[in-house]
Amino acid sequence: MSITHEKFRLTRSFGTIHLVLFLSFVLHGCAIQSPAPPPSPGPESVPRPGAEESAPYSPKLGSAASLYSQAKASLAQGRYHQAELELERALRIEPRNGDYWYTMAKVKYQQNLYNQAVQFCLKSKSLAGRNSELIRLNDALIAEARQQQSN
Amino acid sequence: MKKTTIAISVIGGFLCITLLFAFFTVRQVMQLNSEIGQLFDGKRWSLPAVLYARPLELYPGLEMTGEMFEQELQLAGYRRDVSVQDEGGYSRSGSTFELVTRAFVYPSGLEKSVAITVVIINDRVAQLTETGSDSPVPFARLDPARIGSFHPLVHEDRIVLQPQEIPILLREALIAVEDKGFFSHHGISIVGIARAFLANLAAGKTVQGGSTLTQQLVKNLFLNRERTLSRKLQEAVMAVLLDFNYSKEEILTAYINEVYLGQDGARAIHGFGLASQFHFRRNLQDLSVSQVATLVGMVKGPTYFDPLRQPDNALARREIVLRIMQSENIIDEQIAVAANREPLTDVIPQKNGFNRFPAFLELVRRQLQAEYREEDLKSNGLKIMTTLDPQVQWQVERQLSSSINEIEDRSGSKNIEGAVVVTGRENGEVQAIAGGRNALQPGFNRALDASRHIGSLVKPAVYLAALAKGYTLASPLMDTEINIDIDGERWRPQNYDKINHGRIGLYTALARSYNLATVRLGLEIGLPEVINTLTMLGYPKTIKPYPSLLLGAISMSPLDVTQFYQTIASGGFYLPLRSIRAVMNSDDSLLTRYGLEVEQHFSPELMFLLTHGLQRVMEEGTGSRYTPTASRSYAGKTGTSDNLRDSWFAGFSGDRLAVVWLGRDDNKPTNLTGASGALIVWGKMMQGLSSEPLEQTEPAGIGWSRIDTRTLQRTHPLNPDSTLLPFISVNDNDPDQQQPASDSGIEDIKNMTRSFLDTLNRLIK
Repeated sequence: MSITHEKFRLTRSFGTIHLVLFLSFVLHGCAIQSPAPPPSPGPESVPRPGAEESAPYSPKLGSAASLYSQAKASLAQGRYHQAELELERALRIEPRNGDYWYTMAKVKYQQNLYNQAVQFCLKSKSLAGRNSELIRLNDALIAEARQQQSN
Repeated sequence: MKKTTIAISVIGGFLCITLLFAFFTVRQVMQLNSEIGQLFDGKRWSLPAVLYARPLELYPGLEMTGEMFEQELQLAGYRRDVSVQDEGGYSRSGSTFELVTRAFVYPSGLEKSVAITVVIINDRVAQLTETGSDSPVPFARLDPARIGSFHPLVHEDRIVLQPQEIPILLREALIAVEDKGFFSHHGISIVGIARAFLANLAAGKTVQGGSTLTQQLVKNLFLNRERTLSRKLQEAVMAVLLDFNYSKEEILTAYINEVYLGQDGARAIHGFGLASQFHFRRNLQDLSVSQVATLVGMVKGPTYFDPLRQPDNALARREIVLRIMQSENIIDEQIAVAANREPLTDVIPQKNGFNRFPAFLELVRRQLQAEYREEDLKSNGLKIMTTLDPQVQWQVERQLSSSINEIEDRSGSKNIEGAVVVTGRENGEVQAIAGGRNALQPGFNRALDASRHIGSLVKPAVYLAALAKGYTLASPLMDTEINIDIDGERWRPQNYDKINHGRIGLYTALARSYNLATVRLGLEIGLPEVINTLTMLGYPKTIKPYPSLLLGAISMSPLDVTQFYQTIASGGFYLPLRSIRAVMNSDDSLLTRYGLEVEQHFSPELMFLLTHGLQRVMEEGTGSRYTPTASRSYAGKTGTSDNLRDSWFAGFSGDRLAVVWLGRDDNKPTNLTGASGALIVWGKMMQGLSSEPLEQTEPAGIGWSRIDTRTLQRTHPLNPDSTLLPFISVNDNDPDQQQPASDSGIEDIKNMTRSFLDTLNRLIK
């Protein structure tokens, strides 16, 4: 690796550290003056050894799948309370299935519970890993829910 | 009515009135009248709330042993039948179970009864089919086990029957055997007394009782059983008054629901509804003729005629009852003959779930009391669907008890007590609670009420605060001596091993729970920041900004600890812990539902880092004494308080969070650290529960770097003293990746904080 490359990476990493610091302060909604943390090595995109291309959660086949499709049917038919109950049951069996949480967000949205819809989307996103499709769907629903809230 | 009958009735009436005024003044009679009225009405309308465990959901692939399945069936009151036809029956042949579930009304509606066949292979449900047709069933929900009731008296329990639920056969048999003249007398039966008197005189001893059902009911309604003459007279008068004030139907129904019919340990069995469940594991309506006869026979002496303990007496008594039933034309000869041939009983009365889980019930009671009045809980017949998972609860109780015994033997410490709370990792449902090492002993519920220093359990909050401020897992910390002046006094914290470790990485300080590094870090971040983090994690009370907070000099109950570790386990989402799923009315309509709710308090990236740190605790830190079967299957934190008074462990697997506390009630030192005490219990429990290994979904904003363990700088893969650590990163090269910040992102955070503070206000109220 040439020296120019090293320098280039170092500069970018430095900028990144500042960005990360700024974000972390903002994340708690407070801007407290505090001493800068001691310097740490910049992060580098190194794939984790043995890890597959960051596995998005793949739903288990089995009971939860049929409960889930029941829930989707209930949602489509406008039976929101029923959909909620069925989704909760599905989520007990597969608690980390991002699709289920996203569908729950949709149910909450239909029930005009926009705050909750956003939160369930955030939960779904937290389980989405690098599943860009699921992230996109959640972002879209969050935007819509926000829109409804401000109306 | 014949003339003679009328005459007897009238004479009887006169005699009763005479009796009234012979022994009591008018005022006394009025008093007795009001007393019996109160007792009667109180009992009649008393429909205590019934609590249910979570229903067992069966599906192919579910992990469960055959033994566990059978235990669940028994807890739910299923009886082992030879051929399974009726609801509530099951049969087992090796790994194959056949059963017929009972219909049950859930908040979602009626779940019909189904006949299913379950095959369990290698501790998993391998096959789930419809019995007979063999068509696969994707899932089946068993009706939930009844685990208790909020009866006014702790050791009493009832299944209260409405008049229309009482089989006619039972009514007729009862009257024929115990009180033939029930419908014609006025509460007491002069004829009955006279007959009994003569019979006893002839036999030279007491062979007959002259009391009516009404008198027996009065006797049952009194809480203390005196048998003095004055009491007997009082009861006689009250019987007359009862008969005067209430209809025969009401009295008979009350009797059927009140009569004492057996004992189950400390629990008294009152009423035919409960007796039918207890002795025969069937609903009253499903009893056979011979079984009804057995129960009716027990009225005279539940212990003496107990079918399990005194089968000969019970059999003889049943024969007498059947004979009376036949002579009164309640049943014909054919039926009587067949009934006599039936075996006495085909089940063993099981120690079912009644108040079997007092610590959990206490939590439910408290969570309900916030919204319901005591009277509602005791009299409106509410159905309470709880989150209790019997399999988890049994495992918890077993491991806590046996582990404490082992620990006491090994370490020589005595009088060690414990508490455990287990919840679902992603939904905050409380699956099990142990309030002490002896689960069945009601009393001080340590899980809810012990207030103990949490020691190092607080550290994740400190490290989370640091990570949020921009520290990384590789940030160098100084684990060196520190002296602090607090209000004029010197505080000199020390490491557990009394060694200063110098310059170390943040991940090491967390894994090995170094005190000095933690205190330095916490003071650098600032106590307000740490307190804020702890509050955002879900600890609801005020926290005083003392430096000793950084080493856990703050008292919490195991339940409090579980609440704030729940936010960590769920990946940064605050979930209020719930022990109740729903409350329904006695008519099965839904009253309140406590549904799933989440609120994001920390970003997934931050929580990923913290959780990674807590996985290292298990791998190479203070939690490594418990050998994981696969690397990083669990994440957790040990906690030891000052002078080894409290031994804690809080940790989670893929699907569960569990907090264990060990200590002495008198607060004396236990000689146990978190690792040598609580962790042992925790580890055994998690293994016994065959928990899912912890899998972290890596958020898009995470990147990994190889770090030299000595210099804490980035290094190359061939360096033997190196380790891979995650960092929060933004990769500019990949346009598809989520940018962690944008304007709307900041708004998100402000809104989150606002809504969180709202929630906090509501919680504090």
